[in-house]
Parts: sequence; structure tokens; C-alpha cells
Amino acid sequence: MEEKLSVSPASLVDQLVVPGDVILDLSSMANQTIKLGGGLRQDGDVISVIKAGKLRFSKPNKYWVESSHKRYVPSVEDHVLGIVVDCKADNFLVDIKGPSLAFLPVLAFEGGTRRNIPKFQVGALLYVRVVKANPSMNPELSCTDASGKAAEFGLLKDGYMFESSTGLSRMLLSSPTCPVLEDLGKKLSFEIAVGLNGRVWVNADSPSSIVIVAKAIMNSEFLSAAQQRIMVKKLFDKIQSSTV
Amino acid sequence: MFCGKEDKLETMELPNDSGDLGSEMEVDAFRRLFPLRFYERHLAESIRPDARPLSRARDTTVALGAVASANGSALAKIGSTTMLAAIKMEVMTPSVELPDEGCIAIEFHMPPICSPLVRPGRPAEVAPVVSKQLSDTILSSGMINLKELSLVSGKAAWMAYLDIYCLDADGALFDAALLSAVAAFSHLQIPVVSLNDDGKIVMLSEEQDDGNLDKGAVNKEKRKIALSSIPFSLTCVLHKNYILADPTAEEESIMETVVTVVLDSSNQLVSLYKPGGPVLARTSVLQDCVALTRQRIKELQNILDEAISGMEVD
Amino acid sequence: MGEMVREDGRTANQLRPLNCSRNILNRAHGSARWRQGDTEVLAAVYGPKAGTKKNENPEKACIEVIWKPQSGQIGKLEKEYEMIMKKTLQSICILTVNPNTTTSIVVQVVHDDGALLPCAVNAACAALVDAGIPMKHLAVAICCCLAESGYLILDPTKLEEQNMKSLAYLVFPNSTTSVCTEEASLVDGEPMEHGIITSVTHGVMLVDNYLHCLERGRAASAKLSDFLRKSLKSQLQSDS
Repeated sequence: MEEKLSVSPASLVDQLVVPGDVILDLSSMANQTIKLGGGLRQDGDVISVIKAGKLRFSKPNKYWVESSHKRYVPSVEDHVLGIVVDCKADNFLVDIKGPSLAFLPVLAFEGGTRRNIPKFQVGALLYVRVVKANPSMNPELSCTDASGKAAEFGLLKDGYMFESSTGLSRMLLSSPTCPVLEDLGKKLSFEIAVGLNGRVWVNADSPSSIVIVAKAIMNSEFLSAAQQRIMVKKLFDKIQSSTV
Repeated sequence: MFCGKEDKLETMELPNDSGDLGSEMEVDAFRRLFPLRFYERHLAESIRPDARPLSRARDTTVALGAVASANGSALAKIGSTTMLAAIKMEVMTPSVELPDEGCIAIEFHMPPICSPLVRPGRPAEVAPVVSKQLSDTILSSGMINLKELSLVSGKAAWMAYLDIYCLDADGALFDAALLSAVAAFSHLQIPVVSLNDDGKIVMLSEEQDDGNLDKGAVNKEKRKIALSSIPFSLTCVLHKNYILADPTAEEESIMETVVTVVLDSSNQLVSLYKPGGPVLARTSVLQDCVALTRQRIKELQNILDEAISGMEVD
Repeated sequence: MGEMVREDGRTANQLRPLNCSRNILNRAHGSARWRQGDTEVLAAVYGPKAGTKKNENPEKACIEVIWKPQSGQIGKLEKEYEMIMKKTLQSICILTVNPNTTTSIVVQVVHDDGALLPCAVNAACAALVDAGIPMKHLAVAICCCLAESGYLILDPTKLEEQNMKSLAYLVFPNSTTSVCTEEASLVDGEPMEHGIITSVTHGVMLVDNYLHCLERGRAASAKLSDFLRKSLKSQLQSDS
């Protein structure tokens, strides 16, 4: 109850917030536009937190709560890795780790027409974009970018996919490139696709490289930048000593 | 009762927000589509759709002796919620730890006839919960002195099987079940038993009664059980700042916060049960609920007394 | 009222040492272990999964609680606990964000040494946070025990629970950090965390004794919610 002293929003930024915390009082900020990201909701005249995590603020007016989960909540324009679970006449049903299966319309491909419907087997891994995400409806996916080009979307052949958390995915996608990927990239050549839903796909020339990269990424989840570099270095030292 | 109320609703909608969808809609459709707003309109006028003020419980009746084959039985109705309670007495060997105490086993049943939510073949989720609450309440209230159910210390004692059947579930299940249970106990007559030649306890049937009475009967005659500090309960539904006493099933499902207060005749708190719900109960609200329960237990006591005195006249 | 000596040397208001760890089960979407002294409960959250059960409102998310006792089969007591937990958790979760989904919470009793239900509520709440289920606020649960003399102790052990005349399990909202001024965050003159989410009592007591329980429970719940916040913080820091 001692925390009941009035707190300024700025002091909460980059701090842990838990559900129920009130981060903004709208009645005291007339005529301001704010943008809310995940983990926040408007509750009458205040903005309150609904998920535990770090409160982030990006100028000029964006607020969100950063947290890491094993489950994914679809949101528009997220790039995710989905697994085909069923093929219907109009849609592929794709598992993207969300509460419900997502629909990928058979025409949502570059130059997609009724004549050239792609064939995916059940279990195929796709790199896709979320285009519709409404509660109470299945999310909708697309294999094209906003301009209708295939871009990098589509089937991921070969390689190795593993599941982690949404937090790890965000870390891998953050810029500047996170240390673990940077250091791995200096030593090995590999392809990687990271979905915001916590799935990571890795491909390289040799299976051993794939294993090393996957292992290093999985280990890096709870490490700081410096720790990540040390971890990658140790991993390579170990491999070198064992191959010699 | 009903139509008078609905007229009132229509008139009270008109002066309010005129552009509202509700004003053009039939009352029945409005009730189905916007149940919460339908209720809020009423609550603002301090009245409920069945014409009750917020703090009034529904009409309550108790009939004793509804089941002839049971040793004690009662049918309790609160509004249309109907409970049939029956007690069967059996002789058992008491446990080693409590050699001179009897035992009470309470079971609450919700057959499919009681509510559209209960399907045949699938037991209702709430039945075991109400069962547990009832036995906690009845046993912890000390209404029945279990020593009174003893026959021969360490050898024989009464086991009272209390079964409560919900015939119609229209809200406030626990209140009605507790009332029927208490009424059944007040109607209970402990049968006459005697020791037979093998030293076993046998129940005497009505015909044998007269001849065998003096031959080592453990209870000389049918007797009633003494009830002390009888528990009575009142369930309230909380919504915003309103407290609705004795909710119907509809009210319970629309306004989800339910508080059940059980008080005994000396106004001690036997149980205060609030399982979750969107409304956070403040102390003052709980005190109001307790105050409503105090009033209600007087009513219930009178209803029960009347039922008992009615029986005695017969 | 004379000071009553407790078996383990605690004062009447003193809680047993608390311990909470999250994300301990690999396959569950969220999990937590909560320990109060020797009472230990493991909670795992799965979901939200598509679809709701029959008789549930498909326009809202459905919460399902499965109680696993330490040993043996589940009976009426466990069913009652399941129902209380379900209703309690339903009231702290925001059910409209993921309509027509079911979130299962599996509560495994590891060891019962008193105050089991409050411990389970605390564990489930931490597990829901871990799974990232949207919540209005957190909940903290506490057990108050009342002796014949009206003497009150908090967070009893199993032995104390058995020897006491009556007890009350209380669940309160956590104390939140707010940018609003103190007056603005009051609900009708009382802070939100003074409202009771859940109250379950056993045994006969005076109404005044119950109100006394509420008061002491509230004081303890402030400590518990501080602990909960700290434990969430320490685990989040290790993430980044």
C-alpha cells in the first residue's frame, strides 16, 4: 500500500508491470493520442496492464508490455512459421500456435489463381504473414507481402524447426543483430527463419552446422549479450577440441 | 404479477435515452438480447422483473412428511426452486475413535428434470459442491449432537442418510437445500430398536411395537431429535452497488457474483461463501448481506415453526 | 488476549517462508510452483485452446480447473476446490479477449501442510501470469484460523488447522502500482485491493470475528502481493 503514492508514467517505463497496474490516467491527458501495444487495455479512464512484463515506450506515443510466452496470440503483420494441418478446397488450415487454427486461402500466393493452387502436404512448414486477426474468428494468413509479391514467404524445405518462446523470437529479430546470430554468422553459413510465434527454422549445408546453430539459439534465451558471446565461443571450442 | 411489471418497463424506457435501440424493441426481445441492461433498468427503479423489491426473498413454503417411507422428510420451496429431503436411519457400528457418536451422510442430487442445464447421463457439476457445502454447514453448525445418535457405546449407533433431491433448480439452490434438510431433521423420528437374543440391534416394525416394548428396547419409543442452533442461509447476488436477495437462476447467470451467508439461530456466522465473481465485495457489502440474512432467518424460523405446529395438529 | 505460542515459533501474523518459481514445466504453456512452508502446489496452464465445453458461454473464454490430489481419487472436497478455483480465476482473467477458447489449469498438490486452497490459488495465479493469459489483476490468497478464544492466526499448518475452531480462506486482489492519485483509485472510499474476490469459511464464528479475519487477511495480502511482484521481477530480469 506504500506504493499507492502517485507514480509518474515515465518511472514505470522499462520496469516490471503486473496485471492490474495502471500506467496512464487518460483524464489527465486531454487531446493526446497514444498507441497501445500488447499487454495493455483501456479500462474506463485509465490504461491498465493485463500481462506481466516490462513496460516499453517508444517515442512519441507507443506503449506496450514486453513479455515472453510459449503461446502465440495472432496479430496483424506478424511474420510467423506455420505448420499445415489440413488442406481444404479454399483454405489450408495452418497451426501457428495460437488459440485456433489459421486459414491460409489457396489464392493468397503471388499470382495465385484457381489454376495454380500450390500443393502442400500435411506437416509442411510455411513462412507466412498474418493478415487478419480478430478475436472470435480464425486468423487469416497470406504467403505474399502487402504488394502481392512472394517476397521471402512460402514453403521452408529441409532444415530443422524448433519451438521456443515469443521472447526468444523477438530477440533474434531485434536490430542490431543479436550477438548469438552475429557470432554464429562469423563462423558458419546458415539460413534462418524466425516466426514471431516462437518457432525458429534453421538450414545449413551440413547437419552438424544445423545442430550447432539450433543448440546455440536455444541456449541463448536467458543469457545477456556478453554471456551469449561466451556461450557461442565455448560451443565452438568444444567442437574444435572434439574434432581434433 | 408479470404483465404489470412489463408495462412499467415500457413506460420507463421512453423518457430515458430516446435514440436507444431498447425503446423500439419488444420487452421480451430486449430481455433476451440485452439481459444485463434489462436488469439494470429494473435495478435503477429498485425493483426486479418478478415484481420483488431487491431485498425480498421469494415465497417460501415447507411441507413436512412428504415421503412416507422415510424416517423424516420435507419438501421445501423457495419460489419455484423445489427440494425434497428425506432421511433414512440405519444402525451401524460406530468408529473406534468416536465410539459414542452417530454419523450423518449427506448427499445432494440433481436429476436431469431439475434444470435444462443438466443432461441425462452427465452428473451436474454443482451437485457434489452443494453436497459438500451442506455437510460442512450442517456438521459444523452443531445443530445435531452426534452423541444423541448413539445407541450402545462402541457397539451401535445411528447412521442418518440424508438425501436431498433438487426437483426444480431456479436459483438459490443451497438455501432451499439447507432449508429442506433442516426441516427433514425436525420431522425426523428415530425408530424403535431392540436388542435381540444374539445381542444384535434389530429394528422393530410397527406391528411388533406393542409386544416387544419392554423386552430390552434400546429406545423405548419413537423420539424426536433435539436441534440446537439451527442454521439458515440467504444467498445474495451482487451487481455494481446493488444487492439482490434470493436470486432466481436467471439472475444468478446474468449477474455472476453470488454470496451465501449462513447464520445460526444465535446469529453466529456458520459460513460466508463467495466463490469469485466479477464484483469485489467490500466489507460494508458483506455486512449488508449479513443483515439481510438476519432478517431472513427470522422469516425462515417462523415458516419452519408453522410447518412443525401444523404437523402436530394432525 | 494473551500471545499464543505457535508450534513453529511464528507470531500470529507471521506467514511461513514463501517460495515461487515459474516456467518449470517444459511442455505446459505456463507453470508455477508455490510453496508456503511445507505446503507445496504445482500449477500448469494449457491454452487457450479452441472451443468451449457444453453449457459454457462461447462468447467468453472458458477456464477449466483440474485438481490433482497428492494421492488417491478425487472426491467432493476436490470438486468443491475445483469449483472455487474456477470461479476465482474466472473473475481475475479477462474472458473477452479470447472468446470461444478454453484454458485448462491443472493443480497438482505436492504436499499439504495446511492452507492448501490459498496456496493453490496463489500457484494458479502465478502460472496464469507465466502463460500470459490476459488478467484484470492478480489475486493473493490467505488462510486465517480462529481459536475458541477468538485468537487469530494466519497461514496455519495442517496441525493448527485441525486444532482450531474455525477458519476462513480469503482471496484479495493484489496491490497495484498506479499513476493515478490515491483518491482516484479508490472504489467508494476503499482501495480496490480491499474488495474480496473469494471467501470460504469453515466452522462457526462471530460475525465480528470474521470482520477481524478480513482485516488481518488484508494486511497479510499486501505482504503476499509484494512477494508476488518481487518474484515475478526477479524471474523477468533473468530473461533479458
